[in-house]
Amino acid sequence: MSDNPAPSDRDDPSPSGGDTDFGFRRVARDQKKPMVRAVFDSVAPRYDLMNDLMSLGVHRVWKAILNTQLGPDARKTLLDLAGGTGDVGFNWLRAGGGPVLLSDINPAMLGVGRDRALARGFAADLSFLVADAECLPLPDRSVDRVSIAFGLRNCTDKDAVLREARRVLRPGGKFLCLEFSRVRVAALAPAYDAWSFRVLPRLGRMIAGDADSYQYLAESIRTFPDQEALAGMMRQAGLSRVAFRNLSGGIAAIHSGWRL
Amino acid sequence: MSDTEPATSDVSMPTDRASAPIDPRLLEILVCPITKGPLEYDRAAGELISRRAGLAFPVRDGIPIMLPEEARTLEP
Repeated sequence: MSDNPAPSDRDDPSPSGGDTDFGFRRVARDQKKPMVRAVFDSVAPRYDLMNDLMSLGVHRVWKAILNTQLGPDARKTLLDLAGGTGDVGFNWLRAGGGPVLLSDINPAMLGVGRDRALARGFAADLSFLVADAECLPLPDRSVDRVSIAFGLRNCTDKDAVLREARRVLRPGGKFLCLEFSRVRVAALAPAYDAWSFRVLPRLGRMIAGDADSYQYLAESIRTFPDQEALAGMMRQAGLSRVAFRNLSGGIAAIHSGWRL
Repeated sequence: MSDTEPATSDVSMPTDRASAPIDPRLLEILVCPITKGPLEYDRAAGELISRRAGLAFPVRDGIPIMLPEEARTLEP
C-alpha cells in the first residue's frame, strides 16, 4: 500500500479538445471512442480466451484480489464499469454480494456477459446497461461500490470517469480500479516488453484474427498513467484515502479510494 | 481497424426484440446521463425519454442504451 502525493507533471497535454492517446498514436479526442469501440467489437467473442493467454491466466488471480478488496456484502450495491464479460460482477455475487449493475459502453461485450450470466445462473442479481462511464445515467449517491477492471485506460476522459464514480457513490462508498500499470521490478521489464509487443499481437492474429486490436491493447497499457499519477487523478476527482497495491511486480495495480 | 466482421449484429441482442421490457430495477434507478434528471419509459416504443435533454434512449433486447450519440432527438 502507498499513499504518496502525486507528481505535479502529469503527461496529459490535452485538457479539452485537441488530441488524446490511442495506443502510441495521438488521435482527435472525438475519434477515440469509436476506435476503441471497433477494437472491442472485434475482440468481444474471444476476449476471455485472449485475457487468459495475454496474462497466462494471472488476470483471474488479480480479479480475485480485487473482489476481496471490494468486500462483498448482501446489503451493498455494486456498479461495475466496463463490466463487459462479467468477471468482476460474478466474483462479487459468488461471494454473497448484493445487486450488481453491469455497465459497458459496448453492447457486444455486454452481450457476452449476459450469455455467461444466464449460463451461470446469475442473471437474477444482475442488471445490464450500456452507458458511457464519463456520463453515467445514475443519480448521485446511489451505489456502495464502483469498480472498473481493465477499462479505465480505454476511456477518453479518465478524469471525468473518476468524478462520475465519486458522484454516484454513497458517502462511505469505495471505488476500486484494477488496471495494467508500470512494472516496478527491473528484471521483469525486458521479458514483459517482448511479451506484449512481439508475442501478444501475434497471438491476437492467430486467435482473434486481429493483430491491430491487440497491438492497441499492448500500447494502451504503456500510455496509461503510472501508479502515482493515477492516485493523483483520483484525489483530484475528490476521492479520499487513495491507495494502491502492485500486483505481479507492478504489471497491474489495484487503486482504491473512498467517498467520505 | 480489423478485417473481421463487426460484432454489432450479435445474435444475443436481436433487433426484433427491440421492445422487450426493461429490467424493473433499472427503471427505478436510471436518470438521464446528461441532465441527471428523470426519464419517462415509453414501453411501446422501447424508449427512455429525457424531456429536458430532448433525447429518447433506445431499449434493445431489454438493455437500455444510455449513450447520447445513440439517442433519438425529440421533435421540439
